[in-house]
Amino acid sequence: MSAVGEGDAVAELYKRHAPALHRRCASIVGNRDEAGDLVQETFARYLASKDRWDNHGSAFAVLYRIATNASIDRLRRRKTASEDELDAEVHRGDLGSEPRRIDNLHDLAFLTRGLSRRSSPSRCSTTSMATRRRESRRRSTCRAAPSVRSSTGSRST
Amino acid sequence: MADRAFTDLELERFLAEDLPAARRAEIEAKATTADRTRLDELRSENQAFLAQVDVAAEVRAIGRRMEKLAPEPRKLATWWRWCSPVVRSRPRLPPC
Repeated sequence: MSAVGEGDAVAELYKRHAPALHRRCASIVGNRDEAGDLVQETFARYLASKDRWDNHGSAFAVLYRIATNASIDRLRRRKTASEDELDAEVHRGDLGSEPRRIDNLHDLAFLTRGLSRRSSPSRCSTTSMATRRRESRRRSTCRAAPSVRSSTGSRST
Repeated sequence: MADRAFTDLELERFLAEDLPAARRAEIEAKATTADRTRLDELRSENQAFLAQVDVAAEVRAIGRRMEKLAPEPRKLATWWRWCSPVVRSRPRLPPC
């Protein structure tokens, strides 16, 4: 098949199956942009090893399976990345330096799971870190106060 | 939904023309009002998706990704690279 003909065949395949695959990916990863990326990945994987799929039933079934697996992989990778990020934050001790937004239930569930999985000593250390941070913030506020007073004093003299 | 006779997946396959003729005919004959409503929803969603996507650009992007996915030439397994000199240098045993 020529390159043009091949492109047409891929375009036809895309028009026929991409909407359903996009819906499937979006329902798993919960993000339409990411779902578009996953649809591309699905078609690329399918076409890269098309000979392997010839005996595996319809193209839709194979594409649907690839899309589902790719979405689950993406979700798993995302979870691992955010877990690592959270661990790094705990090790650095700047959990409170920037308020962490809990955007959706998924994040909340993840955080709860992460806390319950942590052993109690590390939970204690996290708590003590937070307490220490609060303390240091209070101390820095106290330190700032005399300087304000002194600057006011110098202006009055 | 209580009065649905077919699943979303079947309706998706119906729209993608992926079902065998018999099953297709069955859907056309036995689909309930709720099925038909869902089918219309899916059809309009599909059209909306294809309207906002540049298919040619997507096909090009897929082509680029396929190039990245191209399999590398197979190397000899690491263990075999280590073992093969040993096997070759080993004296042959006499036949029993």
